[in-house]
Amino acid sequence: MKKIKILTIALMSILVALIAFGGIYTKYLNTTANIVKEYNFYADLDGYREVEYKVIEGDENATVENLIKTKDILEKRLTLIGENNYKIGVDEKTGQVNISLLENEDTDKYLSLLTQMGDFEIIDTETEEVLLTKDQLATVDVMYGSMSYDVYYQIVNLSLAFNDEAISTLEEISKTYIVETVEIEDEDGEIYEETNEKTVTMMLSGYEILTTSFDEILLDGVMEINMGTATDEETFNSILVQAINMKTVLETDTIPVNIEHTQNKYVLSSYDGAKLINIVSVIGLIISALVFLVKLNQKGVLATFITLFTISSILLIIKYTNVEITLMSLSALIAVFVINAVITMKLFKTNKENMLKVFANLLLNIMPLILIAITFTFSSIIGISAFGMMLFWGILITLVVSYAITKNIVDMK
Amino acid sequence: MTKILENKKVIAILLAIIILVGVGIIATKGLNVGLEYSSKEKVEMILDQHFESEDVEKIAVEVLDTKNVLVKKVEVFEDTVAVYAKTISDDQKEKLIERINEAYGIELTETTVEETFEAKTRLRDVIKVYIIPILVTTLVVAIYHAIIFRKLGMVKIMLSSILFVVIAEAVLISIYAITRISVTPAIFAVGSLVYVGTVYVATLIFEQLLKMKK
Repeated sequence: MKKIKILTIALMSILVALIAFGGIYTKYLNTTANIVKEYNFYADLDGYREVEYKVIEGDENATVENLIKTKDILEKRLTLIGENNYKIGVDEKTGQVNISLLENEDTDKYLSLLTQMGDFEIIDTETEEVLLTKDQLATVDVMYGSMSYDVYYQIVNLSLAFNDEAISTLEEISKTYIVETVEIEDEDGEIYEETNEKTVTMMLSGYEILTTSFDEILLDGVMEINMGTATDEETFNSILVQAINMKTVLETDTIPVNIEHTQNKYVLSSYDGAKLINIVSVIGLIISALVFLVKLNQKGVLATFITLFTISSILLIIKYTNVEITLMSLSALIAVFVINAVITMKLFKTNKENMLKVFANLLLNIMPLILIAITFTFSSIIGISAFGMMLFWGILITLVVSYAITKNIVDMK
Repeated sequence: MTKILENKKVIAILLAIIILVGVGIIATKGLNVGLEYSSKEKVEMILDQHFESEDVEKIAVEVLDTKNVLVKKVEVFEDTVAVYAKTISDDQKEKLIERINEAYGIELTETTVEETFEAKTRLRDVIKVYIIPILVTTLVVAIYHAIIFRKLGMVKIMLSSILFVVIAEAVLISIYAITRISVTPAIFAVGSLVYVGTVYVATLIFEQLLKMKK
């Protein structure tokens, strides 16, 4: 019975390892294809967008101070839109800014946001007199809701709240530029209505974004701009991203130098992710096997098979849970090897009677690492969350395998 | 663990020396920042065929006479290569093109090869995003330690837990500074491993201290 159990564990470990490291190949059209999911590698092991901006020649504002300010503004914009995974560099001599960003469906939208200077003005459409500027803005909010008349549609608004000093100015502007309908009598004595519409134009980064007049007097210093309406989810999301981008530009300072976009390329990582993960796993397995054989003698062979099963299961789970793999995930995998070795050796060295006590003590010692794994998982920095997820799955599977398999084996002694 | 506790004074002196030397080197020479984060020159060549980065790297290392070279594939078709080095002179560029032409049977010229400069990334900009998650996690772990090992004194254990992490990371950075190992993105992988290891060792030390107290 004992031999059958051990043989089953050994065969099961080899089978899971073959699936995790090799895959399952089936016939697909005229060729064979691996039906096991591939790893999901993050930018540092896969590829990223590399963008280059240069200061337009002859720009007198291109001082070192302004270049650093530009970098800070770009960083703030990226942070505000929730893009924390970037690398930014500035060369103060040449005025060149290099940004490395994650490649996804939003990358181009982010890039268009970065190139905008971000100066904002509300001007008289006819005279171009500046009525309000970005400095007078207090907060900007994106608001959306749904309405249903004949069709169901969603509406996105941008709410601009001006500071205390500008509230009265906005009130005056809304009085001056309000839509007025006046009755006019023509030469034949007929009376007709004419809309007297004086308009204001909103300028963002030198471009006209909206020309409008006011329907009512604005007393609270808040002005709402309709960004658009949508009847489908895709259009709604696109309008929402546009509104969030505009909010981001309005909430950050104006870029003090004139920059132009000079390069935009997708660059692949210099690391081969799949190769690295296999190297770490194989080296980890060899070292674990050596340690087990030295410390546990014959039982070390069984401990090695259990470790092979544990690590292979972790790698398969990582593939199917879509966990992003980064360089930091590889160090989490190394940590898992160590944790697995500690748990396996302690359990193999204990007797049946003390098994639960030893397991409980191990759990208590590993608890801080579980806390690290959980808190890291919630980080918006992908490197950290990837480390957390790998550690979390690694510890969880190690504990499950230890309890279910290792404990049973030791119980058989 | 008992050995660590017995030799804690020796270990503390040793770590203090490493940190002091490290701080001194960082203050005077700084860290040896790897190519990924330093300003560099880039030569981009369209090879128009599948290639292995390792082969191009061998050529680049030979021509540029430095091991400090990065080779990356560019764009999704993977038929373009970018070679990065601290500096690439006109002669080196010419030789690189010549060797690439020979190796891949193509006819690139200096005018068809793109040469650009890439600005440096300040290490502090890269590190700053990691600070808050690490601080929060360290605090959570310190609170856990303080609760579990409260018999050793809650405040003392909480501070010790934080101090362990700070010292371990300081030692790691000092070792990077002293040994002049290049600071590359791998430092975060090493740093996180040291972090997890330190927290585990700290837990074992606290456990041992509790046993000794009993």
